[in-house]
Amino acid sequence: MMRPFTRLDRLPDDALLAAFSLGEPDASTVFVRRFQRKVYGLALLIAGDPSQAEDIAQQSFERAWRHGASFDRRRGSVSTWLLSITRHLAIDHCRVRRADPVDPWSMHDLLGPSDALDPQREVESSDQFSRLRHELGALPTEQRRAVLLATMGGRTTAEIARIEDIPIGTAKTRLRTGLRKLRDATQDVIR
Amino acid sequence: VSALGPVTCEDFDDVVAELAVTAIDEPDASRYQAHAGSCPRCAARLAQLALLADHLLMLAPEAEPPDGFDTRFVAAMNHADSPTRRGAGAIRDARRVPRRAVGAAALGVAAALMLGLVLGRWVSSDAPPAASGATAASSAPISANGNVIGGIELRAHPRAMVVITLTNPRPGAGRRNCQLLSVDGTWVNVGSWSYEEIATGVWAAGIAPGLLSATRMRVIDDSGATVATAAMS
Repeated sequence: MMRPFTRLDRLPDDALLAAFSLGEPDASTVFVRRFQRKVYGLALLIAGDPSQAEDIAQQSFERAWRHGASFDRRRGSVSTWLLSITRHLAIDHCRVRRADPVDPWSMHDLLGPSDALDPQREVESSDQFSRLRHELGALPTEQRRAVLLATMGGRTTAEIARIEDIPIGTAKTRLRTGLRKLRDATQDVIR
Repeated sequence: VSALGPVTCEDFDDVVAELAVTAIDEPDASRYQAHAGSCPRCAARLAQLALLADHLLMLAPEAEPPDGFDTRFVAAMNHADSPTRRGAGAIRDARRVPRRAVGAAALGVAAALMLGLVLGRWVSSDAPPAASGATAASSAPISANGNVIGGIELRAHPRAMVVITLTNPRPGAGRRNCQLLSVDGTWVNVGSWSYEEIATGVWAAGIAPGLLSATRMRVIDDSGATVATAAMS
């Protein structure tokens, strides 16, 4: 019979991570359930293959389990910390396998204007992420693509230049300009 | 910029965006990282953009993993068993682990955390592997001057540990030392805390597996006076 996790479900992310890193079974299940859609979703976006994405997601949770004690909430949320782990693992995974990871056009949903997004998701998002999503949507398309290809796609600027058929210097400029605009526009909510 | 000369702050500014999103290859990445390591100004710029890059990941679309991903992972994690076996790849491939129910376990530390707790630090990070199977080896209320001020639990899973929850801590200066009475009749120090550290919750520490059969616990202050006790059931 499924054990009731009601009380654990109410734990804040960092407390749940602490219990997860101790190996508490019920808390571990709740922790994985809470974040698995985000982790697997990002792994799938970068790797582009469900089997590889499952491997990457599994390794991400294992790393979180082993290194949970080193998490410092002053440097970000559990979600961003965990997704950063996932991103690095996915990039390593794809580079080692020389796989052709994410199709740039698969990020189309993220390239649209912010007012085209799922309203329910917007409601569930914090102001911080709603704002970030809005500012991302406000970037010129070529800068937004460079930012997304580098962050979520795990691409180097040389790869971006090849994908976009532009000189590498242009790829660097688009990435740098896009990120700086985002930083300037969100620095009051992302600190 | 990739010439072998020392990296300047101006050089760094040119690549900080790429560095923040790991869009720069080795060996250049290491050269610039080394510069950031010795330049607070550049380190701050890098940290700012890296934080932004991390937040962007939250915008990635979510996706449902294969059915049973959570239970398979936790089962594999339990199989890997203890922090001392947490080397890279301790969980080899959760997909090969037969799906099984998550073992029944007391809420323990996790439940205590719900009370708004501060988790005490582990005093022994290299404690031996936990005894298999058991969860709470014993538990008891903690008394001070005839009043119950909290509880103690000796747990064998995921490793041998003592978990102390104070629901009614008593203010006091100095440190409190927690001791367990082993079966050979000796008191063993398992750690210490200050009132400030434990006033809001729980303290946990790894212990030797042999102390899971301890019969008594006492808390002594800096002068050696006993300020709280518990008798294990």
